[in-house]
Amino acid sequence: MIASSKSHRLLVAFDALSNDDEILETALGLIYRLRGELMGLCIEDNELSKLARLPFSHTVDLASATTKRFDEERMARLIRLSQKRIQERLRDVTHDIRWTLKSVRGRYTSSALTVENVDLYLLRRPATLTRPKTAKTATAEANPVLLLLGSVHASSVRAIDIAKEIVVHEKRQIVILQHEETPPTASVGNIENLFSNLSVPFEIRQLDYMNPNAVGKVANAVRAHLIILSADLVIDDIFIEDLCERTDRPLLYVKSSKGY
Amino acid sequence: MGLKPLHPQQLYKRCPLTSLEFSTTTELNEHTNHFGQHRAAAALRFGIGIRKKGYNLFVTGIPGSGRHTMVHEFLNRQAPNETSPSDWIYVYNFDDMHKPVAIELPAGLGRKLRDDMKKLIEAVSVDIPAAFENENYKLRLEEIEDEIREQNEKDLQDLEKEAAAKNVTIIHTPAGLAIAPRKDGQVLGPDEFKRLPQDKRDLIQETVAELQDKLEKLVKRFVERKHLLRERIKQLNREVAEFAVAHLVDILKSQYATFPRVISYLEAVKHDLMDNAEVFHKKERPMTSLGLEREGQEISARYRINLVIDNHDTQGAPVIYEDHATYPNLVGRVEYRSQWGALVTDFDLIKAGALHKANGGYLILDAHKLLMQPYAWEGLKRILYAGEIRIESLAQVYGLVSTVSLQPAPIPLKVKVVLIGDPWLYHILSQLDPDFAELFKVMVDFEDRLAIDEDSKLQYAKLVGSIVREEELLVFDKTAVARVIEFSSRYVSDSERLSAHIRSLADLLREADFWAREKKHEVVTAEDVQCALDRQEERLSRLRDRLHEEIQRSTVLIDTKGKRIGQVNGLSIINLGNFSFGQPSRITSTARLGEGDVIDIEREAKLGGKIHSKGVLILASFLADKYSKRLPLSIAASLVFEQSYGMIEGDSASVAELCALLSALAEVPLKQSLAVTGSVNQKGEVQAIGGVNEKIEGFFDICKGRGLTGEQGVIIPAANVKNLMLRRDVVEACREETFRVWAVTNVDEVIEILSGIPAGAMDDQRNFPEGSFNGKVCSNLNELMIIRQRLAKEISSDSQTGVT
Repeated sequence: MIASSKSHRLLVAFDALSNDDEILETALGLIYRLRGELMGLCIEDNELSKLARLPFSHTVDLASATTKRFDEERMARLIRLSQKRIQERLRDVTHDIRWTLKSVRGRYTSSALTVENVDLYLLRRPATLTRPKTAKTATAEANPVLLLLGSVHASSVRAIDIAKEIVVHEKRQIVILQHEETPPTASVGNIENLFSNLSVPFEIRQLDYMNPNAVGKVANAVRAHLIILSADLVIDDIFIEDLCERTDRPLLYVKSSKGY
Repeated sequence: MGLKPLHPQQLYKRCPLTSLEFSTTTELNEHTNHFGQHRAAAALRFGIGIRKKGYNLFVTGIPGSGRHTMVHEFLNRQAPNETSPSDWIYVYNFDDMHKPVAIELPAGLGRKLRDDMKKLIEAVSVDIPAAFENENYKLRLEEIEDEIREQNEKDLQDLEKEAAAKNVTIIHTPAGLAIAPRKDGQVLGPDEFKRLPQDKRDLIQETVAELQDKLEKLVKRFVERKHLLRERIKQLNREVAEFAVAHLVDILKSQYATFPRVISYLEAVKHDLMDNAEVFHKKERPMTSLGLEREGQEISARYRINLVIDNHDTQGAPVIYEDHATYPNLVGRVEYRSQWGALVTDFDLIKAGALHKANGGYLILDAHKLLMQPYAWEGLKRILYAGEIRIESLAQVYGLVSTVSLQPAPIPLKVKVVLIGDPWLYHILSQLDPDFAELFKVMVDFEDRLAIDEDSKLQYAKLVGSIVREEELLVFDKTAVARVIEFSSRYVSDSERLSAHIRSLADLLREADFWAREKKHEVVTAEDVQCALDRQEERLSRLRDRLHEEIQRSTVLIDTKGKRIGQVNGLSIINLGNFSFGQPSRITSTARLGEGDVIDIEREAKLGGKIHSKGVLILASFLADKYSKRLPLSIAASLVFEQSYGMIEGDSASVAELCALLSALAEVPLKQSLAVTGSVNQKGEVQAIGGVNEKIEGFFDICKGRGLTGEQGVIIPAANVKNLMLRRDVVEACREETFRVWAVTNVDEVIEILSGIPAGAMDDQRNFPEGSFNGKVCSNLNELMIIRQRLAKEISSDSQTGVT
């Protein structure tokens, strides 16, 4: 448990049409570690909804190259199955955690980030043809936490705290990404001292460009268990949406305390 | 008349101390465990020496005659001079996992190969992951993956461009890719679509259909590229694995260069390691898959060596004694282990049986135990015929299961089997099992006794000395040894023989040692040996004493004085396994007018066995032959063992029965102070019987219990005199003439002793002297015949005149 006894509200954005076990596993791991409340949000992609209502829509399966009709009935069935699965899973494992589950229709990232009264957002887009699958490995050490840091901000502190909590208890490494021009500040402290005191393996990388493409590449390369980014880094939702398109690694967006 | 009783010297043959040229057993240093078994020893030497198929051995003899000891001794002397057999290993068959391969190696090399393979896999477990962690490998992997991905992305982008140009877009859905019409950067909604004019809608649908078709072809190319990617990665992995593995395997191959089967195996291992290298990536194994974790363990297990026959420390040929000869214990088994609720097996669970362990040497089995085990005998024969050991479960042999199991390659067998069993077993197998004669051509027949002479006495004494030394008993002096020799003769009921039964001898020596120590003797003497014998008898004689008690108390009626017509004391023996004793039985006979029947009441009541019945029939024939050759026998006689309520078998009482019958016919009383034992033939000759010592002692005990009168004694067949080794008190009583033993050769001699009157010899006219016993028999038979003839006439004339 982290030093602050402040309770968290974690929003988990589920893509309504995907059976994504990994985001659920990650969410449960987080909420048990951090304590608080879990808010599940099943997001039906608007675009897919429209596609399903067109009378001539078909999908081509990537595994078998077979074409199948994609209609409302099929979409509704897939959504129902997915929601049912998420509900059952939450019911089975959340014995002493409060949780809720809602459905919305809209774009994935913006639908999630517009929910208010939440301080942590967990997002993940499953692998597709252009978003390669990054396999997890048998040992925790092989899947580090990727922490993106910017300048001083209350959410950075919180992001660092959350990252420390995870790496210490799950015995993971941590890879810290910073823009090469980010100055060290007194309030954040010396990053190296911060993590060496924990006796946790860590690495600091400095990027020329802190953009979704660069971050996504690093995330895929290190097979990040979780990407943590704080609100001070993010300019807008597009950064997160873009990052989600580049990697299938779960992403934890930490808002500042003012946002919650 | 006037047959004299036997002299006391004829009743017990002493072992003269002068014939033993030593003072104590310490002077008898030569070790021997085989007394008098020259025939068996010669047969063993022959059977062990001959190296042809089918010359296995069957060692037969009574239990306790030293069969096991001698067989072990012979084999343990012979086996070290022979060549040590090979090691055998089972290894995984990479072509067919259900048929493990057997490989033969010189003794000791199996273990070495097993250890070498273990080290190889340990090295490979480090080297392969290291090779895959190598940056160069990762780079090459990334190259391959990027190339394919770029091709896919380019194709997709090209299609996306084409789609964009036609106002449609490719959408990524969890169910796959889809083509959708676009407007203002977003998917065209259905309502908007409906509002479009028909021609526009048709165009959109055509465009979507056209691009859908192209998309499908594109995805097919993706799928093909995926396969290609897999193949290229596999090939890359093989190259990397080969680099890691090949030199390790080649080093091993050089060590086993002269063993082509090992070389083939190592080649197969190398290829398999290369094909399954990714299993050794510990870090690459997805943690969500239990199946893949198991796969890793299973693949590593393939490279183990099952050293099923290990002769690394065997000196010479193995000598194996299997005391629990079940089928699996003989031929080996394939074991199973439980895994995730199912029973699984692999070549490493093949276990050797006794035949494997004895391969190249000797296997000793107890025949009776072998035959008692289901299919063990049949299985052994099958294997001996085939000359190879094929491991199959009984269920497989009988076709009871059809589940997939292992079929280990058979191992050639070269073994000599030594079966040890009782004589009756040998004879049954010889008669009823045609395979037996084919496979067990050497009979090793142990003697149960041998003739006494100076040499055999010395050998026996040496045997006593050997046992005393081996069991660390007190030293035996020559009196004790002499007494033991006398016991040996008594054991086989033959004063001219010594017993070859080692177990009873060893038991006596131990017990004599015990009693000697109880009395604080430093040396075991004859007195201690006698004490041991007396105590043995005491422990076992409760039933005898109770039965004799019932006779003394007149519950069972036995006369030991006076005379009676048609009544004789017969003698029977009761065998309780390790103790036998004799006891008298009253045999009575009645005779009256009849038509020549001699009724055996025991047979009529179904209490008479076949041999007993035969004896009664023989005496009836004797009767007719001796007394009624030319005239019809006009008697009806009956014979019975009084107060006998169990089965009676044997013909050793037929002389007594005949005497009772003759007494009833002659109406001459017979002495009840005497008992009779002997078998009679149709000519009236008295034949030998068994248990003569016990029978005499049984009657003696009854007489002694009532007080010896000097009139009492036992009549025995002359042929049994050589079997006499009577108890000391019986011999003493005979010496004092308070008890007597007569030996007879024919019925007339018995009759004269029992009746006290001459039997009478037949003259040329077939007449017996008047007043003689036989004369009286004849006279009475004639009288009965006359009566019968008269009655027959009367009946006949009555029937003619109608008188009833």
